Amino acid sequence: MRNISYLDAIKEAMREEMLRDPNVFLLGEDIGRHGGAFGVTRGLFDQFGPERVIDTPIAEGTIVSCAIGAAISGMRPVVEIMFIDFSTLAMDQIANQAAKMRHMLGGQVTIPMVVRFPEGSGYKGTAAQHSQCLEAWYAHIPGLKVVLPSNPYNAKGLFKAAVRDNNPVIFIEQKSLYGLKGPVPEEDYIVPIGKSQVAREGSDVTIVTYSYMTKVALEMAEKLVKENISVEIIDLLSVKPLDIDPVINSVKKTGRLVIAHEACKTCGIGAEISALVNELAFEYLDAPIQRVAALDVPIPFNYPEERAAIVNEAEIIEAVKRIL
Amino acid sequence: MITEITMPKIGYTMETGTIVKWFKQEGDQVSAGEVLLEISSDKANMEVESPVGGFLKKIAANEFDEVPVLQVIGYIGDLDDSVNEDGIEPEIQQQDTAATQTSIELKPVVNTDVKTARLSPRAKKFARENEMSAEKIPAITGTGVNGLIVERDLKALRKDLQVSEESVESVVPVDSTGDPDEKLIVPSRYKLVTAKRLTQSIQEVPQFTVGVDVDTSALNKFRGRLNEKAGNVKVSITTLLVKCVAKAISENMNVNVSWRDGKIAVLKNINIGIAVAAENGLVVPVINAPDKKGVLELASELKIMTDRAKAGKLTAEEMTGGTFTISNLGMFTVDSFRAIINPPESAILAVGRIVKKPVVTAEDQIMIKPMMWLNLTSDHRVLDGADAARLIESIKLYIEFPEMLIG
Repeated sequence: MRNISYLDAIKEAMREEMLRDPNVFLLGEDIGRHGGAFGVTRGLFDQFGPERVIDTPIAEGTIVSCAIGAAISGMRPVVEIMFIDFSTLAMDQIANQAAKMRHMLGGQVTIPMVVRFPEGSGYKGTAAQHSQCLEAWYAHIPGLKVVLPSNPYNAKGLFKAAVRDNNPVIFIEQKSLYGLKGPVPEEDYIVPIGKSQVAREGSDVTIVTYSYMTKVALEMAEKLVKENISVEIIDLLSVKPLDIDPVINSVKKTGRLVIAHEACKTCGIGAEISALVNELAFEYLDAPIQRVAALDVPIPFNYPEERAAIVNEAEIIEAVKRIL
Repeated sequence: MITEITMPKIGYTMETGTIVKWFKQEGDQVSAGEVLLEISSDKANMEVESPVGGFLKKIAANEFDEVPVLQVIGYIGDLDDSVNEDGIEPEIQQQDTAATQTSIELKPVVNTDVKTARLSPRAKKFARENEMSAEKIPAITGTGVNGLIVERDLKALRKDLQVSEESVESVVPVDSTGDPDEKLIVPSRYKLVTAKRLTQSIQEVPQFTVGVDVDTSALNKFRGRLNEKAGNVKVSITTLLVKCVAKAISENMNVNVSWRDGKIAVLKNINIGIAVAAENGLVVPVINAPDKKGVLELASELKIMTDRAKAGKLTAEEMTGGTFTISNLGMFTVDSFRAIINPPESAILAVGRIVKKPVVTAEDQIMIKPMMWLNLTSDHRVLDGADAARLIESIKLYIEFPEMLIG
């Protein structure tokens, strides 16, 4: 199987879905001629033309509003918001309209819309307004699905599942993963929304994570093998709906849980996982659940300070060893 | 000031404790927290430390004495305190003794630490599933976060406990008057419980025995045919006896009774205990409602129970609630024996070996038959001879006509 990047896997998924279904179209800022702020849509404008790859004004609320209208009319829009930080400008459209309309109208309409959000640190000095991880905001809204692929394979599969879903799906890409290469089949496949996966089997400690931190955890696990520590890594892939079963099964086995995410700690996804494990597997715990997350601070512009604010491998290792 | 030392109560069910050894003699100085003596409950042995510092003024219970919990077993006081036969300082007898005499309930060393054992949820689950009762888990510093006792600590501890349970029958030095070749042993808890119950049975229960020799040829054939078809489960003679007895009792429910403090308890369920010789002594796992279970089901249940019994893994629940016991010594060269009732049950069946004997048949023929002696010992307070006779007749019927079991 060929290796392609996370970015190319998403692009390939978009291309294949647009070829498969003429109702699928893209809209966002600079995604057409320019190919997108990160180049994810580069080449698609030339292939599909301005009617299916639409450059929009810098007006996130309007972009999402248009997408909702199109979705109600039977189209399958894929929105790109340049940074998840800018999604605040479309929050009413996403949280109050897209998430609720199907339910408030008794199922008369569906909103088959995908909103792509690049998020997280990794581009030096993008600072407080371009580096946040806001998945917990969206996971909190009933009516939305929230997925965060961690590698090229599941990025392509999850994207296809998102496009084919009849509900609004928040598709969150971690900017630092764009260059990550991995095996991706050329044939059509989906990775189902709402299913977490065992990314690595182990016996001593369970690490629950997602998105970029899955990559960090997998690399860390290799190092811990040399210290005779065996970690099991669960990649959530979807944080809403959340598939807790693999987490519970793993905790039953290991008795120890570390949750790692790049988003800040307070009210993060880690708090939800911790609460669920407490509810469902309390008596299997052999140690207090550990959360490794970013500091509750705006991400600093200064690079060393940025590194200090977000999670690194050493902190996860420390958490693992603390409860071993 | 005189402080009373009392027998600690370790665990909810502890009623008495036995003094295994005093580590201090009368007059010896002790400091608070120093190990004073070793006691043995029906569950385990443990060391007890002194709650206060001072001098061991008097020992009120000697080694090997069995003492009710909270009873005074010794006194600790200052150097110049004196203690009379009743343990009270004579000069303060008239005074408000409550003010000067403190009675302190001792706690075993394992729990006297300021902290009690802190277990992780998983460790608690492990303890529960492995029947490690709370008093067996010392307040050690665990290897978990902040000294939490975690599962691996209990796994390690369990290994130690298994060793110490096996060695509960500790040899203790004999007193100077004894034969130097003799040795005294503090029995295991199984032996102690057995000794206590059976002594009580013989002392309190008027017992009589009826016996009969039964022909097992049909039962043997029945068993052989069952085992041909039964697959992995092997049906033993004991299994079939459990079924026969249960059936017989279910037809003679007047025997399913129990003497309770001058009243007769009429029991609804039939639960049959099976005497098993485990390494630590006699144990009696109980099979609940065998009258309502199939023979194959009974066979596998009995196999599990006897395996657990032999491994010393039976829980208290698995050994209680019996209404009748079967003791089978047929695997030994024992033709016939009488068993002692296991209180509060009303009867016990003692089963001898199957042996070929010449038997005069109804047609006055002499035939060789595999015969087995059954002795049914009953509590005469609740059962009369005729009751016992009817029951053993019924048991004999099922053994000689096992096809009746499906009736």
